[in-house]
Amino acid sequence: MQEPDPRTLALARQGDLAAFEELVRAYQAEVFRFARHLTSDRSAAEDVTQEAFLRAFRFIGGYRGETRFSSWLFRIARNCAMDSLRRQRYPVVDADARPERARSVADPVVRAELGAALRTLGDEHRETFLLVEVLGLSHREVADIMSIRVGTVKSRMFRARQALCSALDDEEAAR
Amino acid sequence: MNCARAQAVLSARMDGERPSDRLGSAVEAHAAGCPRCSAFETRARGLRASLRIRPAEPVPDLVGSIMERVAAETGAPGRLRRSAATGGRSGPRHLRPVLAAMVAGVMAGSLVVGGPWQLPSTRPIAAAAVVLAVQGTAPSLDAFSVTYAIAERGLSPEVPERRLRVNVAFLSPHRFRMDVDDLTTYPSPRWTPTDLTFIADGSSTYRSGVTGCPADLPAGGCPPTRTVVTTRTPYSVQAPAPADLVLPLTTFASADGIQVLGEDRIDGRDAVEIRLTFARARPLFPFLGLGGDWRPFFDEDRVDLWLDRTSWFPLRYAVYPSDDPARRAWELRFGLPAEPSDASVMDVVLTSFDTDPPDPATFTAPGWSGAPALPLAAFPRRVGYLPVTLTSPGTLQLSSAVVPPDADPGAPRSVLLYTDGMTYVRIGERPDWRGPTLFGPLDGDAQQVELDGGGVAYYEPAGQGLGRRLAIHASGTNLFLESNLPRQQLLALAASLPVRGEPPPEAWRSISGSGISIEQVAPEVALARSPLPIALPAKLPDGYVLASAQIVWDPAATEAAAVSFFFRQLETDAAGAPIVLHVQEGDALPPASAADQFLVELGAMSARWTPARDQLEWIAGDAYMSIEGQVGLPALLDLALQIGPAGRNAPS
Repeated sequence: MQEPDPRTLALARQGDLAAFEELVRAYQAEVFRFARHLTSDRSAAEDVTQEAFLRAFRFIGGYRGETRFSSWLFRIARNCAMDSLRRQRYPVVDADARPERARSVADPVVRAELGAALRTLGDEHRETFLLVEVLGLSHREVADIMSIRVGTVKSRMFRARQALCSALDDEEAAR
Repeated sequence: MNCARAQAVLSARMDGERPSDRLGSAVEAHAAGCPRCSAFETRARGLRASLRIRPAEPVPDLVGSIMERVAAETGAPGRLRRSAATGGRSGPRHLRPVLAAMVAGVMAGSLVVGGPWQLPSTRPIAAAAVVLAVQGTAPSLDAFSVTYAIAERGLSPEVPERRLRVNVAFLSPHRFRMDVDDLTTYPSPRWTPTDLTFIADGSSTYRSGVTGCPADLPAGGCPPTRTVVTTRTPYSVQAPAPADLVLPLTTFASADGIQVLGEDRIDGRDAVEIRLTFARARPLFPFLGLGGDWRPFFDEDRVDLWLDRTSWFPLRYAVYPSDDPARRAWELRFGLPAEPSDASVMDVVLTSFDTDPPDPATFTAPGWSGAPALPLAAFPRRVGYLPVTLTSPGTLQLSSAVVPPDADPGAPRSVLLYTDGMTYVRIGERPDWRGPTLFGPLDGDAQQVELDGGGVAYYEPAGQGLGRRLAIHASGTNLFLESNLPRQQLLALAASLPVRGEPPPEAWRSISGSGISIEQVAPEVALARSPLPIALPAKLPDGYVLASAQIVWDPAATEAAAVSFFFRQLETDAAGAPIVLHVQEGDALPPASAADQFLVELGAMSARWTPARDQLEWIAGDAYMSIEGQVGLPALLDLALQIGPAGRNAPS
């Protein structure tokens, strides 16, 4: 994920609305997709995206560049998504109940199985897995977003993959 | 090394984490002999593919609502133009974000284009994502002024290199201007510089420039002194010539034939590098068709193009001679020396751009105002009917409604132009149209399409300087739509029109002459009428679909004499010319019709290959078959081998 032009970032930190709008333009799609996967609900994802950018605007003056800007922004988005889920009491991922769940070009049976398998993961493993696999973020970026160590990301990814592979193998064997 | 340790390393490696060489080697060695671990890796990669390869999901544009909330907190007005403080940075300000449409494409593209999964920072963008991004930008592009510097080599031995400057201005709705200034120092005053002007305002166009080189003269054989000619066209369905220099909408109408090479920084801007053939990139060279002297280009010449990663305007592009052996014969024909494939023959480089709206007077042609726009309410009195309008135009707005001059008997009585930024739909209407063909600039092989909600229309992809076209014959009127919108959007707009398309009268679907008549029919009808039973190829070259068919009738016979099938690209002919399959009774090939013809193997049979016509012909049983199209001999052979059963099983 590309980092913004440092000049844009500097201006946004000084409260320049045009510069901030540029950041919104550059990142709104990624933030929306991230929120969409966390909430499994398009409308909730729109709300989360708006709220995330609003919070980002409030706090951007305090952003000092300790982490990548995208990681900082995703951390905010993640917090907003968690708040939204708590408020609405959504299950984090409920493939069957959410008609807009992400689709793949794979066989529908495989998709359904994958959805079921994802539900078997704990929240932390599922979130880590989606950040890496769906958004293509690096372990470092995910560690920054989730405020955990890179080693933890690595082990969660391994555990998530192991569990998913095992769940899908079981599904296959049962058919 | 145990399985858990090995799988943990395999998992991390999938995510771009690199183990030490020693650990990596140990894991490789373990996995090679461990079915459990190799199954784990295969399964994990399958999971990734299931999650990452997905259709592009629409992402809402939330910029407006976000900025309104932000502004509400600060007390500032909602959405802002670029502030003076940021004015030093470049970039068009009228662009809506296009990242939204690209994201899913980028994800898919990492697999389609880049092979193995790559780190985010080096992830390439897919051709499909470029197409989406360009199309997504069009509605929000309201104004633009750009200047390109052109270096052209090989025009003539006397003028080995020329320097020209092209200024292009665009102002929504649908006003374009292109000026070519020839900066070359010519060897003598006999030479007329290639100075050209093109202005389009709605459907009216103005051109002024030196006459072009007479056809088929070698590059150095053109008379250097030319006449300056000015033409004014009050109504034209042609797409505005310089549009692709602002945003390459026509070039990127589809992803077929486009190769994304990677990303780079060009002149301080993030850019996507793309490779395509000259034939595919032709809309990027609008100045070549406006007159004056220009060197020739071979269709297969290579064009390397860098597009700005944010605004999608062309930053620079260069043409390199193709190393196709057929180019040598072409060079001889044009009196050109052998041109090496590593030296560009034309460079086009962006030198300036400005997103401030140009002065409207820029688009005023000298002594010419074009067709005057009228309010819709004035049409009944003027032309006797109220034009059909779009009922669900979405973000498109009616920009102008004109009555073209009646000089051309095929011209519409009314033309409505809808625009949104650079996106446009033109609706021409003529209630009193009496044929003998469908109304509008469509060929006879247009594809019959069913519109949602009922009714039929006839569709042609973009090509020959025109956008995508749709003809509708309805009770009491005839319409054609011409647009640079993607096919599906155009069909959706047509479906929303308050008319129901009907099949045209039978007489409009056939033409007669030379003792035969040719009837335009649906492919299944032609298949049923084929003089010999055939199976159509199921596997077509990328991007092609079976579009339409014709039956050739001998009036003296009751059976069809021949059938032809047309395979076309969905979005644009620039991505590949139509492929035509022809079947008729016959037991021998026609006499040779070109100097260069070759026998090639076609399964157990032999076929005749005529490169000059891109045509493959063969006899199968009692059938003469030919297939022609600019897709190369291997692709034509592949198609021919699929045509059965006569084509596959019968002896030659």
